[in-house]
Amino acid sequence: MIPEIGHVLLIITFVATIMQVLFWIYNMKSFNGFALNILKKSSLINFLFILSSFFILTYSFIVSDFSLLIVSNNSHSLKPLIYKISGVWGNHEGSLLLWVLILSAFTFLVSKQNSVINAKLLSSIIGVQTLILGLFLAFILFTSNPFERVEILPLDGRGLNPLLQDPGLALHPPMLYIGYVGLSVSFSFAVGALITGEINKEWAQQIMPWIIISWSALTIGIALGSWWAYYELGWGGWWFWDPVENASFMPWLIATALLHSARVLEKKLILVNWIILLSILAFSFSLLGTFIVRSGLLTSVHAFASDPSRGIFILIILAIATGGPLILYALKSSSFKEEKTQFNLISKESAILINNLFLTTATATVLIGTLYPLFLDAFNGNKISIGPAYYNATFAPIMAPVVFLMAIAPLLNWGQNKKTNLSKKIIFIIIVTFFGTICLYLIEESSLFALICGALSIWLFTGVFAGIATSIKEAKIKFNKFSHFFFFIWKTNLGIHIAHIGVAVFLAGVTGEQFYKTEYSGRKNIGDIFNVGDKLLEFKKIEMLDGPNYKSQTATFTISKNSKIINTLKPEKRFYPIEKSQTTEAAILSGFLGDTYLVLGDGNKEIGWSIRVYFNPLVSWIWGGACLMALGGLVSISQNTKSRKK
Amino acid sequence: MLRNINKVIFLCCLVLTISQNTLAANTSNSGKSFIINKTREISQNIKCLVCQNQSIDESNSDLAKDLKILIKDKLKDGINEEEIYSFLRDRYGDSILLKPPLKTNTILLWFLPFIILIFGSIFVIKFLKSSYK
Amino acid sequence: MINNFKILRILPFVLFLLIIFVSALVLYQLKNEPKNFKSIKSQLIGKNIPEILIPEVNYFRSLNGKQNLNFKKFQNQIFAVNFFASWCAPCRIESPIIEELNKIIPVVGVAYKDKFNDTKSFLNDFGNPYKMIGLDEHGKVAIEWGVYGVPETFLINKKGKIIYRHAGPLLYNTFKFEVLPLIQEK
Repeated sequence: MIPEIGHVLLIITFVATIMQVLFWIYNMKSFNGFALNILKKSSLINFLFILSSFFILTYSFIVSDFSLLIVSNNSHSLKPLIYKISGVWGNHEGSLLLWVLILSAFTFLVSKQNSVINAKLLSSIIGVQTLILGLFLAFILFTSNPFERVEILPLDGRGLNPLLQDPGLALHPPMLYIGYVGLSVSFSFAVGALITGEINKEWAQQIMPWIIISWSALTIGIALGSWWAYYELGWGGWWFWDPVENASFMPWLIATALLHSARVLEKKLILVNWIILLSILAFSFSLLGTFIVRSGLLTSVHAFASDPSRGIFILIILAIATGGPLILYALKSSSFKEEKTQFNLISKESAILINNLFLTTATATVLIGTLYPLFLDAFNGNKISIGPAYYNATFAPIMAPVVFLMAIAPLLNWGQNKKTNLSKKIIFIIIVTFFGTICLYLIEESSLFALICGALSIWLFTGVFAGIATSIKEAKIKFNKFSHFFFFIWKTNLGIHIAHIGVAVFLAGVTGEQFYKTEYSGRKNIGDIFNVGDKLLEFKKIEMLDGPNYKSQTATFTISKNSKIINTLKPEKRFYPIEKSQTTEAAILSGFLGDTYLVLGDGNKEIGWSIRVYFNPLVSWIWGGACLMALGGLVSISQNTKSRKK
Repeated sequence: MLRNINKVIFLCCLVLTISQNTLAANTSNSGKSFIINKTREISQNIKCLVCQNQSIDESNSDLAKDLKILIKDKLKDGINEEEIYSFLRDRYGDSILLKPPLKTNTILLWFLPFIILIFGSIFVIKFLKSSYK
Repeated sequence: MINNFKILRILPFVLFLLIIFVSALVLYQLKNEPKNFKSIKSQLIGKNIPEILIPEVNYFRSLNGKQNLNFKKFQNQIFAVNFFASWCAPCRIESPIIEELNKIIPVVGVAYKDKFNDTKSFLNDFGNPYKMIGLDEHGKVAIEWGVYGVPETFLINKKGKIIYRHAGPLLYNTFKFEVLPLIQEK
C-alpha cells in the first residue's frame, strides 16, 4: 500500500510539472510577479512530493519489503542498516529518484533567491529546471519505476554487491549527483539569459555560488570514487579512464573552465557568449554522462544494467535538453551587448581565456577517448581498447599548460598590467622549480615524464606562495598576530589560493604514486620474516573470522623498522555467502609521506600464500589535494557573499 | 608579441607530447633486469581480457600470469617488442592493446585532440587580436 | 571561413547532432545484435589451425606425452575443437550438448591447464564426448588459439580453416541456430 503512495506522488508531480511548464511558457511574454510566485510555490510542492516519495522508498528498504522488485533485487535482511539505506541509490531506479530529488531541491533553493535575482530571469530559471524535472520524471515513470512489485514474493533479497557495501561508496553517488544536478542551475541561468535577452555582471555574481557548489561537490564525488577504488579493489589503482569515470570527469573540466570565466564576467562584460555556451555544455556533459552509464552502450564495472530502450529514452531527453538550448544559442547569442575592451595579453583575463582553451580541448580529448571505441566498433566492427597510455600522450600534455598558467595568473592584474615586478616573480618561480626538480632527480633517478610532473607541481606551489606574498606586500600592512594575517588573506583571495594549492598537492600525489612506487611480490608462509625496502615484515598468523554478513580469512603481519615494530597489517579475503562472491581487502597503512599497501592472494598452509606489498609515496596527497580544492571553492563562496554586500 | 607567446605555449605542448611518447621507465640495459623491466613495460600495455579494467601487469588472474610468462620467454629468446605485440594482436585482436595502434582507422583518434587545439588556438589568437585594436 | 566567428555559434549544435546521430545508430545496432558487442571476435577466423603441437592423452592406453594430436585425420571433414577443464563449472553444463555435437561431427577436446588425473575424473563423471583429447597443461596452446577462458568451441572446415568460435558454454540455442547451420552449409 505504502509504495503505491510513493508511486502516485511521482505521477502527481509529473503532471504538475507539465502544468507548471505550460504556465511558464504562457506567461513568458507578459511577465508579472504573480506568475513568479506561483512558480516558486510549485517548486516547493514538487520538492516535498518527491522527498516523500524518496522517504517511502528508503522506508521500504529499511524494513526489507521484498514485495518491491527493487528491494528484492538489491537488498537482504542481513545487510547492515547503513547499507540498506545506501542500497536505495546503489541501483538504476533508486539513483534516478535521488537524481530528481536533488534536482527538485536545487530548484526550490534557487527559487528562494527572489530578492537577489530579477524576476524575469528567475522565472525562466525555474521554468527550465521544471522542464528538466518533468523529462526525468517521465523517464522514471515510463521506464524505471522504483515502486514496481514482484510477481512472486521471495523469501529474501538477492543482496547488494559486496563491493558496494562500503562507507566511501555509500557517499559517492549523492556527492556526484549534487555535482551533476547542481550544474543544471548554471544551465538554467544561461538558458534564462538567452530567453530574457539580458546578461550583466550581476548575473555572473548570482550564478557563481551555484557553479562553485556543483564544482566542489563534483570534486569530492570523483575523489571519493577514486579513493574507494584505491582501497577496495586490491591493487592500488585509482583511475582507469573507465567510460563512467570519464563521464564524471568531463563535466568537472567544463565546470572548472566555467568557474573561471564567470569570475571574468563578474569584473567585465566580456566573453558573454562563451560563458553561456560553457554553462549549457557543463550540464549537457552531465546528461551525456547519464546516457553513457545507463543506456547499455557500455559494459563497465560501473554501468547499471544495460537496456537499449532506456538508452533511446535518455537520448531523446538529451536531444531536447541540450539540442534546444544550443539552437537558441545559435540564434540569439549575437544579440548580447558586450564591453568593447582591449584584451591585454598579459592579464588575468587572457590567462583565463587561454586556460579555457586548453581545458575545453582536454574535455574534447576525454570525450574522444570515451566514444571512439564505441563508434569504431559500430562502424566497422573493429574493437580497440583505450587505456592510460592514450591519455598520457594526449590529455596530459594538453593539461600541462593549464597548470603552468595557473601559477602565474594570480600574479597578473585584471586588465592592464601595472609594473609589479612580474618578470622578477616569474624568474623566482623558475629558479625554485629548477632547483626543486634537480633535488627530485637526485633523490631518485626517474623518467622525463616523472620529472615534468614533479616540476609542474613545484612550479604551482611556488606560484601560489608568490601570489600570497604579493598580496601581503601590496597591502603594506604589518601583522602582529597570526590571526591578522589569516583574516587578511581571507579577505583577499584565500579560496583561490587554497584551491590552487589543492591542485599542486594533488599533482604531487599523482607524481609520487605513479612514478616512485615500489612493489614486492612473493609467496610467503606463516612465520616467514622478509625484507621489503628498508622495512622488515613478519607473517604472524592467518585465521578465519566472522563479519556481519561475511566470513573473513584474515592474515596478520607485523612491520618493523630498525628492529622496532611500528605497526600491524591485517589483509583479508572476504566471502559473502548470500551474494556468493569474494572481495580482497588490502591492509593499508596511510602516512603523510606515503602508504604501505599489503594484499593477500591465494594459498594454503602447504605452499604458503602469494602476497604483494606496495609502497605508494604521497598517495594520500591525491585525496588531500582534492579536498583542498573543494574547500577552496567553498571558502570562495563566503568571500563572494561578502563582496556582494558592499 | 601575441604570436610569440602562443608559439611558446605550442612548443611546450609539442615537447611534452614527444616526451610522453618516449617514456622510459628504466634506462638500465643489463640482461636480467632489462628483461624484467621490459616485461613489465609491455604487460602494462596489454589488457587483461578476463578482468574489468586492468592490465595484465596489475592482474592476478591465470591468463594474466600465463601471458606475462609468455612475454618474458619471448624477450629471453631475443624477440623484440613490436613482434610480441604483433603476436598477441594476431591471436587476440587489437583490443588487447591498451595503447591503440596507429592505423588508418585510429588516425582520427590520435590526431583529433591536437587538431582541435590548433583550430582553437587560431580562434583565440584572432579574438585577442581583434579586441586589441 | 575561420575569420567568421559566426561559425562558433552553429558549431556546437552541429557537433552535438553528430554525436546524437551516431549514438542512436550504435544503440540501434546494439538492440538488434547484442552479441557482437559483448564478445570478442576471434582473430583466427579464416585462418589455418595454429601449428602448435598438442600432446594427446588417452585414458585407456597410456601413450601420454608420446604422441601429439593429429588433425590430419579430419582433413576432409568439418570438425570441432572444444577447450574445457575439470575445474570449469560451465563446462559441465555444456557437456551434453558437446556429446550431441560429437554425434554429428568429430569433436576434439583440449583440456586447458588441467592435470591428467583431474581430467580423467571429470570425463568419468560427466561422460567423454570427444573423439580425441589433448592436454594443454600450461596454457600455451590456448594462447596460440586466442583462447581467453574456458569453455570455448571452434569449428574447422574441410580445408582446415577455422570458420567459427564460440566463447562460453555452448548452450542449446547456440548449437541449434548457429553451429548446426554452419555444419549443414558445407
